Amino acid sequence: MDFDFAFMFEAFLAALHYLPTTLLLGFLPLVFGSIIGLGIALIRHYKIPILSVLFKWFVTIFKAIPVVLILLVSYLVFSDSVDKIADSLSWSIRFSDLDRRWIAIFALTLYATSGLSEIFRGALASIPKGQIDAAYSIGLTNIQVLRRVMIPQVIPLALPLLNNTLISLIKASSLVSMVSVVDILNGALIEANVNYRYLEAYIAVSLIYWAVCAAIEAVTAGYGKYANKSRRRQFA
Amino acid sequence: MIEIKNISKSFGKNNILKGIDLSINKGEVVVILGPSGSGKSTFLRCLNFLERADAGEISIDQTKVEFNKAKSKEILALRRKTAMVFQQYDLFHHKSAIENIVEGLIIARKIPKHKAYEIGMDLLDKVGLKEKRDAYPHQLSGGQQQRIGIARALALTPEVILFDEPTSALDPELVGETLDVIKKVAQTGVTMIIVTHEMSFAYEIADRVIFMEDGVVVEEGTPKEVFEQTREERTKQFLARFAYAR
Repeated sequence: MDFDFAFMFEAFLAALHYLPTTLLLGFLPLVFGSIIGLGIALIRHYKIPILSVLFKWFVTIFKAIPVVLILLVSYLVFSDSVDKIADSLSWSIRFSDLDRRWIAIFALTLYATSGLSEIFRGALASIPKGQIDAAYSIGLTNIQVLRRVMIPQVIPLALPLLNNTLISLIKASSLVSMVSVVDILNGALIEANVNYRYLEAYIAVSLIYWAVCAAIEAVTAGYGKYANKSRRRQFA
Repeated sequence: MIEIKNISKSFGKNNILKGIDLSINKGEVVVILGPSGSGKSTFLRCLNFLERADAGEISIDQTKVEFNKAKSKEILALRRKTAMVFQQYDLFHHKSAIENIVEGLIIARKIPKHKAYEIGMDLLDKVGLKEKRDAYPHQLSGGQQQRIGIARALALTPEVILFDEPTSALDPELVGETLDVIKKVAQTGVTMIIVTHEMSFAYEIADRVIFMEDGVVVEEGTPKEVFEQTREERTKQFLARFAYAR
């Protein structure tokens, strides 16, 4: 078996063209998932009736579903309902016009949210109860306690774990070809369909995934220096 | 003048406070003694609604609040007339010493920043930690953290400061500096309720001593009356264990 380095390079460039899509599919679900996840974590932390039970089930269910299934089910639900909903609201949007990347982002957000909410819930629980009492004792309102005392301490605790989630999301995004989104993997495979040199294509894409994840790790390590300081602050 | 009437609190079937009355004059220092589990800390925590009492009422400065009915606005108003010093100091870990002190002033009291920092620096000076202005809690000893905790409470110029075993978590060597600061504060005429196990400190600082057990006040009087002319058998037993401290 001969290995065609020239073609690997070609596939590499072809895949690189779709890097923005892959990054988008990693970052946007992380951002959306963090916002929703923090909301869920707060609802569960404060044990808000009904909602906290509802979200407990949401988290339990989505933790157990493979991301492929979330993608496929989202696609089916969207393809079935977008036109109907658009009709009833007399919007002109059609499912066929909808950028498939939004479906992928929706599905990956669902996938990330349960894990992210658990990360934030853990971080919230690790804030010493006494500090919260102290905050109330100096006359802060509920919102002020949240904004001034809890959130500023939750973020540094959660950040290193968010990096892990981002890496899982980048890797999970390689499945989006199932809902006909072209990401770096699919981009390289399209190139390989011409001459059946799949091995070269796969290896080219692997290199990109590796580089992206290494870059994220490097950011984490850089942050770690800062986090160590603030963690010492947390648990001195 | 602070008037507390018939405060009761249960946790499940556990009756922690069984209707306690207490009135405190302005500038008075009241020390509460008693074995652990007697309800001292719960009593303090009910006064500023860190625990919600089942019954009773408190009035500070003519503002009357019923414990079981109070709305969040009333609770907030009451908390802004009180301040608390905690056993575990409970400073905000992500804020420096000065930021800890001014937090309540700026955020709760809406005092302009520069004014708040002026007050904060004065208080740092008062507790002898001027040079620790920008230190974070993890860079401070327990005694220093507790002195910042006291400054944080003082900053709010409350009607009353509640001390919940302020030296119980400290190394014996660091207890002295903290008690000295509390004594200094007491001399400035701040009203205080102090829960402590430091008997000689209680004797020295208190205008009135209360001995509590099982959610009721067993004995009450001046330090001289309670420590030297003890009436109740139970109080005698309790104080006997601390005899060496006097």
